[in-house]
Amino acid sequence: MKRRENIDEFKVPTNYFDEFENHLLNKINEEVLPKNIGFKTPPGYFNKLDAKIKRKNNSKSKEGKLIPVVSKKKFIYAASLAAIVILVFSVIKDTTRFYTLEEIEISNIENFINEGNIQLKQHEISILFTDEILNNMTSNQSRLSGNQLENYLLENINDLNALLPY
Amino acid sequence: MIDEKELIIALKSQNECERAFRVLVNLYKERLYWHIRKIVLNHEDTDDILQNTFIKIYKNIHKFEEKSKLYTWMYRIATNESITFLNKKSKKKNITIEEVKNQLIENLESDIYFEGNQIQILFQKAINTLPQKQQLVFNMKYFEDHTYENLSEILETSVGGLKSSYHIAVKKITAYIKLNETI
Repeated sequence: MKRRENIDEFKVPTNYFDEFENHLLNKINEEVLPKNIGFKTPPGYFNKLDAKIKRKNNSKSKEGKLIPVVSKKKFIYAASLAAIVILVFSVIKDTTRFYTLEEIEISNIENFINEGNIQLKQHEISILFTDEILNNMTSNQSRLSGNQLENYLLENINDLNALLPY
Repeated sequence: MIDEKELIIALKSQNECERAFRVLVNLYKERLYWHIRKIVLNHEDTDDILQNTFIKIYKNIHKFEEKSKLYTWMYRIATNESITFLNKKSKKKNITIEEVKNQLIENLESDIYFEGNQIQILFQKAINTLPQKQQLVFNMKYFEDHTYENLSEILETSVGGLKSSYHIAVKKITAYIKLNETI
């Protein structure tokens, strides 16, 4: 007579048997790891903590709002005037100097774009890519190590299940 | 057993908030302390971050919309405060967070509030080889015994993703320890 392997009334969590092997290997691996990390606190630390938090909270609240010596309006006038003077002088002084692309730091260009000074649309960027550049980019991917790729995915992908084949 | 809903109501009320806050601090101070300590490693920094975490909770409790559990929200604040602290330190010293953590691990040997041995230092070094989020997953699952469902709420990651991440973390840590303990 064929033995019944399970009983209808009893159920197991979804994917229990699929994940059993991983759970078991984890448990075996964990056995070699230390059970505590060796940290301790000063004696009586937790008993004094409430009072410490209260003191810090009160002192933060009492710091109050700073009243500026120079009013905001006057500061804006002065700053605008200074900005105009600097702008005029820099335009007059530097009109004959041109920079080549090689002279500009890549980080400066990145900052310039990040600050929103150039607004590029997706299709505008895509027309800058030739087939040769795209091929180079594809071949560069193979230079990434397995670890780099794994770290990138763990940091940036929320649902790792999405990467697993069905 | 303190009812979370009642505690939140008391925290948000003007008359009872101070008493309720004291209850909240007593309930969670140790759990949050150890959570932060595993991220920033030394007592002084942990103490500072823990106090700031509770002050932030006190000042922002009226903004807590109860879409998650109170303790999930508190853990999220503590985690963010700790990571912000490491980021600031790395920017100030102009080094990576991993290097900041390596320096903190090197300092453990002379730390009066560390009584671990070489294996425990090696264990910290192994954890530090993991990406930041995987370190959180490992610490919270291995030491704090959170369920994957709780972790999923705190770290805003799917349960499946967390399970894979934890599994990979254990494998990497054990491999690192095996490779380095004989050297």
